[in-house]
Amino acid sequence: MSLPFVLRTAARELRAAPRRLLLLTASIAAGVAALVAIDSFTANLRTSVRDQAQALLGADLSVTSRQPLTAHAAAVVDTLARGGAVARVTGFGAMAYVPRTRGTRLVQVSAVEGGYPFYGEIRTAPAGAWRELQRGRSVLVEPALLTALNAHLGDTLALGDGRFRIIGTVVSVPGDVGIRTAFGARVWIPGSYVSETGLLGFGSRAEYETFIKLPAGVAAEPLAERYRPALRADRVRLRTVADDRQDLTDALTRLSNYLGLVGLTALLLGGLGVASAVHVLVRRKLDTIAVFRCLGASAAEVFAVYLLQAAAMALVGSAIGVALGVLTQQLLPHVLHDLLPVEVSATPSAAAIVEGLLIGLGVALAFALLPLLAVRRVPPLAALRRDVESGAARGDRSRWVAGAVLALGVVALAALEVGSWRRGAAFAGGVAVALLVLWGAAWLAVRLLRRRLPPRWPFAWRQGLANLHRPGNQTATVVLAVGFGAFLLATLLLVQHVLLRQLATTGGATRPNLVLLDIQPDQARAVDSLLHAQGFGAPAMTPIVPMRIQSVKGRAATELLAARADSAGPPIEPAQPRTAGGGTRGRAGRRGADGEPGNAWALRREYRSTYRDTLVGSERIVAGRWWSRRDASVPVAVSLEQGLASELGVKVGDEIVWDVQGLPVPTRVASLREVDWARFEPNFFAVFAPGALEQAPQTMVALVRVTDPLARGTLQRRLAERFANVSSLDLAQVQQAIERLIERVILAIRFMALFTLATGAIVLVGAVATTRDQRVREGALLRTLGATRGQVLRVVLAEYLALGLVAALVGVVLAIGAGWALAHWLFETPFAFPALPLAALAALVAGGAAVIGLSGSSDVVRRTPLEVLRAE
Amino acid sequence: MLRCESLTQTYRSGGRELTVLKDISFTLEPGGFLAIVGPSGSGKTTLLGLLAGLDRPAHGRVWLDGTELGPLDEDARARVRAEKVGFVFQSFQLIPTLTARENVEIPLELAPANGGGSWKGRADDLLARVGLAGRAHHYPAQLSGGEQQRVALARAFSNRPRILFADEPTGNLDARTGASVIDLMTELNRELGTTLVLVTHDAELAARARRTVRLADGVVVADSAAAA
Repeated sequence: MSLPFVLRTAARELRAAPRRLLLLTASIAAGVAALVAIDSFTANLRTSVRDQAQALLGADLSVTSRQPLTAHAAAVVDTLARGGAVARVTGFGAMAYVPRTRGTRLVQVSAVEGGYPFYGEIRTAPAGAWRELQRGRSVLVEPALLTALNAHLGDTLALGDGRFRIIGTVVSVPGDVGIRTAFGARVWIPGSYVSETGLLGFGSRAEYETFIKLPAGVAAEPLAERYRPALRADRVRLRTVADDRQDLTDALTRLSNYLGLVGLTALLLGGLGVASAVHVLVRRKLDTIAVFRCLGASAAEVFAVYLLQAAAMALVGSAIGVALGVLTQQLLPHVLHDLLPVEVSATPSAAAIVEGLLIGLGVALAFALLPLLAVRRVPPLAALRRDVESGAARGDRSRWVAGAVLALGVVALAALEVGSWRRGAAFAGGVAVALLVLWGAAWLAVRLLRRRLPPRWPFAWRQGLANLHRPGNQTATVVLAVGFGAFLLATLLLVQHVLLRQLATTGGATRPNLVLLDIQPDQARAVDSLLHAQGFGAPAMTPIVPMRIQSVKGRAATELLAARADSAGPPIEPAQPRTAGGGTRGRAGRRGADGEPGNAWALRREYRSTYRDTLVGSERIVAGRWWSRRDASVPVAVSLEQGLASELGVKVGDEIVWDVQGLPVPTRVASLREVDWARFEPNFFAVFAPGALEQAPQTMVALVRVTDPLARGTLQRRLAERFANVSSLDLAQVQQAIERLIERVILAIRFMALFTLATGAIVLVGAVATTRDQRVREGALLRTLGATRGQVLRVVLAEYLALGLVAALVGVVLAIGAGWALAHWLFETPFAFPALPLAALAALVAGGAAVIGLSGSSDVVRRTPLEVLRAE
Repeated sequence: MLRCESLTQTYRSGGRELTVLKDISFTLEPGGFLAIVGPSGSGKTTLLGLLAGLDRPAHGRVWLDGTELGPLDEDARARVRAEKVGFVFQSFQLIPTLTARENVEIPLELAPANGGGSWKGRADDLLARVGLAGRAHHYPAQLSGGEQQRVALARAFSNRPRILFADEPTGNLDARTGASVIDLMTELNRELGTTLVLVTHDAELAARARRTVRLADGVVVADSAAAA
């Protein structure tokens, strides 16, 4: 092979008409931009987490418990902190009340003692208010709370029986994410005044956190290793900076991985654009190639000439993509705002840039290979006779090799992006299935249109539709490119709909929307009569009895816990109040989500159980038998949630002894229940048969429905005024907060999906551009033969509207399939699709395709017929 | 049938005004056969374009079957063409993505009088008439030059035009094929009473016309009707 010939010829050809390969360049740019942006962002995110991890925890070690530390645990803490420093934060839910404005809101109180945080800074307005906090009965609040309570600095804020002066707002807390406020805004008070509130009484849900700053030179990890088992038996959780960093890195990497996959689809779609551009180029260059062959160039040399051109233009496209990606990266921290617990800088990552260039080049070449192979089969004779058949395409082994290179490349790329071969292959397989379905739809449309075109339709429509099946049509390319964009957008729309709908049905029209928590038994009657007086009827009161597991099938929980040699961090149990005793979200089957193997969390956790003789709507028996009437037998009958049962390894008939406020209560598992936790109802892991717990210390939960938000506010205020310890949770507000979070995540994904859509549009523009010359000639000819400009434009409109419609409809149908699968297997919620928004999306995509088609065809009617016919 | 009066056409080229046609007038009776001849660049094709309403003259007027083209906008002129005019070009100008039959059907579909599909079958008749009955489903690329021009001829006659414009119809064909195409054209001209306007620089071909207008440098230098 003559390398100088190849290089010179490639350069000359490119100089003559770089325009022909512009589509290739543009196709690859958007995808590379998406990948570079995401990968740079991920790199920055890792750096940020590494740099800020210590500030996230605020200390070297943290010790968390759902109860005041036992004497043993306190002793361990003292040992750990020897030579260092200790700070304490106690978190609990409470109703905040501002007497001046009569505003009431559920808040999360953090009572701070000592020099927390040891690392990082809590920024306040006015600055320095954090230090002031400890100087009296002061409170710092989140800015949003001031608005919600209609309060301002200097106002008095009541928490239970305590009175605090608002001295400032907290602007930022290291590691805090927007979602944490879903169950109430946060407020900070000095730890020394907790007792004045009177809120940490019996049954209140509190979290006791101790922060330890180690003396200089003492490593946290070995200490944690050594003391973790001792603390575990006391149901105390020990965290280090490294644990936090690991959890956070894992979670954030997952998020960026998925965003990266969405970016990758843009690149793959760009690959289709490359294949289409190269295919058109080769077809146009057949004469030139034949002449080269006639003059003595080998097939390999000619192949190299065009491969080199493709590579050069792909490199230009990748470079443009890298530049765009660096720009896009500046936007990502804003798009992901509220989801990130760390501040992320937007420094371009060198690795991501090099990677982007290489991946862009690789993808372009992988996709260019198949159509380029045709170059090798152009016979020299074609220079003399155009109609010479080129060599048989079948049986060409290089085609199989090119196909394999392409498939392997895509899988490898996906694997690189998600960091797992299995998931990479699954992703590539999913994309392949989607593309195959789209391709099949395009093929079917072409076949159907060739077979029969409605003969009664107007000229323009028949011509336009016929263009879809005529020689040199771009139907497959356009349907693939546009359809895939539509598929991605529609899937996002569906996921959003499914998730939000689940929330909406939760707060259905007749469902309770206000939960009253922590009602003491002696307040029950008074609360009831207050609700009655306000016209809200008599709500059902559900008793809640806090308890722990003492032993399972004769083995003590502490023994079982200490037996686990594993050092993984205990579960993250958020300080947010649960809807009701049992907890609303944490599915029992969700093992591993908390990073702890086995059933440790099930043994350690505090259970809020109830007793009753009827089943509620959100549960059904799956094993054993529900008790009938009063079943005063010993041991007491208990019904477990099925996930918890499998976690504890118990079945119907097994024995569990519960520790109810220090008193052992032996039980026998009488039945297992399936519970729909998604319903905001008092759901329970353990339900006791009536007769055993009536005398145990307990609190009550009541559910009320108050339709009018104003009335709901008033009721919350009345309750807060009269029953300081009773918290009321407005489910509408919780729902809104979760909706905001979901919308945030969807927005981030949709932002990445824009790149895919952009690539789809570029491929479409390319398809329009490559057929433009022919179109202009056809348009001129039709007009010479008597077609009006309107008719010619309608032909173009019909063609692209039809293309867009086929693509959009198939994309939406695919999305419904994908949405159903996600709802069924991932979110485990019933599937429903919003017909109207989907139809609007399809119409928008089809309309967009028609607009691009029409705007690329203005030449078709602008030039006079004579001009075009002369120019031939 | 066709009348033009003081037709003048100018183009701008490199900032200078270029007169390609100057003050051309003549009248052609229905059923007539006119050949416009002259050397390359004499303005033949420009004149044809003006007569068929494909372009607007700088000065002068054109009447086609009693309709003056001047006041009509482009779409209205297109409708006149759809109804009354047929075309044959030097390079055939078949639409490459349409089969032979589909190409022949286009004028039928465009002519408003032919709505409702009553023309079904006419394309096949015409293709049979030009000897291509078996090739209705072939695309232009699959046909020889002579075959393509015969398809173009079938297309030109498909809407039963009152007048047919032919621009060097044999220019891209060998002598024998060219002659057979011209035979076909004159046959159809006789059968259907179509007025024929032929642009050519082939003297032999021009000789078959009943009337010849010779152009040179944009002006009429000879008109056989005036001479007679």
